[in-house]
Amino acid sequence: MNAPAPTLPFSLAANPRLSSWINFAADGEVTVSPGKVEIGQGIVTALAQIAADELDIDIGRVRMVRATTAASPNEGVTSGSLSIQHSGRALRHACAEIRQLFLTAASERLGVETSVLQIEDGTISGPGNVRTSYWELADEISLDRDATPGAKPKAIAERALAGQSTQRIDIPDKVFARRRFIHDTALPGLLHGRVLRPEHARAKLADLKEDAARAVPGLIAVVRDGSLPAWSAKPRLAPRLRSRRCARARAGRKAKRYLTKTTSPRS
Amino acid sequence: MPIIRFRLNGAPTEIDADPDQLLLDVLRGPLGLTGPHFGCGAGECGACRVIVGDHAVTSCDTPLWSVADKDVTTLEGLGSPEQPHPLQRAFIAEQAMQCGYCVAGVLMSAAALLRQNPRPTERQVREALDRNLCRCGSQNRIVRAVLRAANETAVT
Repeated sequence: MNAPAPTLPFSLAANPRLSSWINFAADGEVTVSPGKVEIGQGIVTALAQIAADELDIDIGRVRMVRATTAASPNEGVTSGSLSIQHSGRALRHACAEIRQLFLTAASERLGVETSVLQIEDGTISGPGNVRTSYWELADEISLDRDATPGAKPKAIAERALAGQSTQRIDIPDKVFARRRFIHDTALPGLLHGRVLRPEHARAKLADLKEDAARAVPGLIAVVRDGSLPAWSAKPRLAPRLRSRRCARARAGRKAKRYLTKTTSPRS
Repeated sequence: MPIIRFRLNGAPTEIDADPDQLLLDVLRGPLGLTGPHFGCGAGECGACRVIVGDHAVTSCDTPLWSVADKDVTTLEGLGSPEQPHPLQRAFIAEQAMQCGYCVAGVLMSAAALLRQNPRPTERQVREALDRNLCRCGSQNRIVRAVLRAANETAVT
């Protein structure tokens, strides 16, 4: 029987250009650009492990690029516990192919067979103390080419990093208050919004008194979808609305409803 | 609007703002800090905790006027990569978070605890962090990290 023809991993088939995933920076770093977002699951660390393993570089050389709509491979949404399956397999395959491209180029430059070359922390060496590196060869090899099926990633037993615990690369930013969260970014024209939820389950919104909200300067809109009202305002002004509502919630007073008047489901 | 003066992470600070504005909104807004996080906005989750005087308070329900002439410390003022607070070192060593959104507040509660009680028991750590919610489930690592920081401080 014939083996099935090799195919590219899902995300790599959708984004085959190798340079959209991996680049060798002049300063000895490797930039890795997944299309999935770090939201606390630890994927940037896991993906760095996969890339470093496959390229035979120290994980400290990996610089993970935060996913952006404009520049990153389009991997759709980040959900469903699929980031390693999609991004990880794409990176593993892309890195295996890139490793092979560089081994071939090194073989030509050094005049030895690829089979006797080895890579250690990005330095490619062979018998007779001949050596070069990813970064020396980077100008010769354009990664603006599409991935091809059939690249052979390392066998599990050959992996040194993937499958081992390592320090998460996002944690230092979080203990030193560096900007890591989407809330810390203000895009041009950013508005803040808030959904007002009823105090009772299955409550129906009977009446929406908007006067008090509309009296707050900076309010942009009050919108309503069935029993869910929401408002939006400019960020600096939004807290006023929030604070009044929260102050009331905390005081635990009988709700003299600020924006909404709800009926309990039984009434 | 009246000018309100206080010390923010050791630096004299004055701000011309509505004294009824919430401390969190002033810190994250005009003062440009991102250490304290907005979580529930109702003083329940602890992500916004900062130290005022000697106590960790929820800045999302603390009015600006109440910190006049006081010392306010946020995560930015706890330590830096060059000079980390023992808690910051310990949280890295114990990998004591998953998403880390709550950790800015957890660190401030823990720092206030260690100021008042440099050698807390595990129970005292758990009590001090009782008002900091973590939905990722990192609580045990967090407790270990605080105890590690306390040990380290006691030794040095």
